[in-house]
Amino acid sequence: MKINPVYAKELKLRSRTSKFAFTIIIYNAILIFIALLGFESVFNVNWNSYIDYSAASRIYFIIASIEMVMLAFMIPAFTAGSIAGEREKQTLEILLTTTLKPEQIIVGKLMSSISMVLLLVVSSLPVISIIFTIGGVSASDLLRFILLTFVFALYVGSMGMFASSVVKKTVQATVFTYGLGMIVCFVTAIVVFLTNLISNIYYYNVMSGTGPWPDVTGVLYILLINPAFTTINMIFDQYGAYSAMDMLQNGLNGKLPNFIVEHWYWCSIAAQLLCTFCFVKLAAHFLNPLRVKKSKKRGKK
Amino acid sequence: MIEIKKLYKHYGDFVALNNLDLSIGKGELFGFVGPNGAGKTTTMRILSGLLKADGGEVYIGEVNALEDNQALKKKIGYMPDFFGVYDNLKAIEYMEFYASIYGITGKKARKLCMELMELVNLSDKAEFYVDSLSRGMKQRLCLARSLVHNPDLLILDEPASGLDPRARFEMKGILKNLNDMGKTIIISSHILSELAEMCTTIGIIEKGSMITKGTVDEIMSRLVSSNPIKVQIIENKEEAVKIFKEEPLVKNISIDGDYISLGFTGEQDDEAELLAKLIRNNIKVVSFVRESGNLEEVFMMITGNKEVLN
Ligand SMILES: Nc1ncnc2c1ncn2[C@@H]1O[C@H](COP(=O)(O)OP(=O)(O)O)[C@@H](O)[C@H]1O
Ligand SMILES: [Mg+2]
Repeated sequence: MKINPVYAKELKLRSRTSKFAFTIIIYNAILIFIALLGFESVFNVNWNSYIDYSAASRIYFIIASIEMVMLAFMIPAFTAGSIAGEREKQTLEILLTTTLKPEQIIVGKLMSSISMVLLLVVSSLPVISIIFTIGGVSASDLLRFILLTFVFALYVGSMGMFASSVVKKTVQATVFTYGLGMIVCFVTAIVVFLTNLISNIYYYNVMSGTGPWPDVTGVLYILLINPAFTTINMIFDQYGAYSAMDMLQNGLNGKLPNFIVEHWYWCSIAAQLLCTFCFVKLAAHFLNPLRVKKSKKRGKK
Repeated sequence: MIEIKKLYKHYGDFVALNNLDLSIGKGELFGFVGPNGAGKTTTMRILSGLLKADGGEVYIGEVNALEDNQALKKKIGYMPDFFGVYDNLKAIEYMEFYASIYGITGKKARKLCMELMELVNLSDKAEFYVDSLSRGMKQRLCLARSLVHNPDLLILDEPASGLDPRARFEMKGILKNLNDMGKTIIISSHILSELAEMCTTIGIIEKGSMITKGTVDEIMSRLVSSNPIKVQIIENKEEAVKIFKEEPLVKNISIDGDYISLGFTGEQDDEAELLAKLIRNNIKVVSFVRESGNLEEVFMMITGNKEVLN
């Protein structure tokens, strides 16, 4: 397979700036700092005669979340400027007069950003695996976590590419990407919460509190595209204290098909990759200078 | 090589190209001239597949430029009126990046890129970072870049703007060279004299339509025919005036000492005929000359500022 030329160029450009080395150091420093803080509280602050290993697993939870949150903040910064930046440097027009297709430009840029994330995650592996071993997390769980990290990176990265090709300026594109991230992480959760609220109101006011509770579990499908929920759900499953799915299904008075519940992790990955694909396609569409503008109805003379 | 028929483009209510017709033959070095805002960039961006036309047809060779985007892009090299460069790349890396887009990599790419940089007199700058190059060098690097896929047609939007005279001169030489190698070149400018000496043909665009197209000489003679003919006569002035009055192509006569100014609408053949007639009638003509405004005045006149010639 031919290597994407944009990808190769981006790697070259990125590896030249000191910004990236700096990012790796900061990223790992934060991880280590938080891990140490966590161990300190787990192993020393308890004056009891036993060590609380369930608290150790709590460190896993915290570190995993921190890693995700840091990525959530970094990826938009990596990706949102990529197309807007070419536009500002006025190199985009030139790329568009070559035989490169808009898709190739988007994919090359996205891949180079994801490679950076790959490097970050790999650089943090020593720290992560020590923490996870102490936290009693198995190798397969660690792999699941890393895979989810990548899908997450691709997903948020594709939002960044989309924002970058729609919005002209880097700063605005970055803000737009954070906005999109907020929508999939928080707005979907709020929708579930509101559905629950409305169904309760409905039950008491319209059904007068009698009969079976209305089953509104269908709304949970929306959480498939929520990477935050899927991460939390995975971690809960991994150290088994509660099941996030069970709690939600009880609250919404029904059951999702068993297949979805059991394979939530894979279903969500599939859903996120599908969204990624759509964002990439949309980004490429907006990059194409000859795209048909629907709003322009004014006919030609 | 290029056939543009009834090309139409509007931005909102503003009509940028109004049924523009233009044809450019293979091997021409075509100077595309017009005042700012005439629609040169718009035309060139449509030719390069960067802008959607609202009507008309464009053929480049056999390729329908408005429909077959990929085929079009193989045929053209485009240099916009700014130079987009990546500051953190070396000149040679910049070139190799564009070569890789066209599937040329490795040793082959290095060789090709060095050849092209040689062509634009930049071979000694290959290992320099792009941001350390001067404006003229960046421009030439951009030109070399637009040549990596060996396009038949080069579209250069105001390549001389912002360059010092020396860099301009160098650029002209390179373009002539490329033209000699068989490339068809379209080059735009809002200054006619800048292109006149270098281009094989010139086209003048104004308010989104072509006003005229031809070789520099053709255009001059076509446009200059609206200038008066100045005749200096030292004897038989009255006789001469009588002849002029009989001549239908003479529109007006004004006398100033030995000089007679004629508004004359005929072609050069008619001018010669008129002069012969004077001499046959034994009128002593000392000089008989079509007043030629200079190139820039002609250009100003046909693009609207008629008061310049007065
Ligand atoms: N994107 C645009 N939106 C609105 N008007 C535009 C746009 N681009 C160009 N124009 C207008 O179209 C006219 C032609 O522009 P252009 O082709 O750039 O002229 P030139 O290159 O000959 O100076 C100008 O009057 C310009 O203001
Ligand atoms: Mg212009």
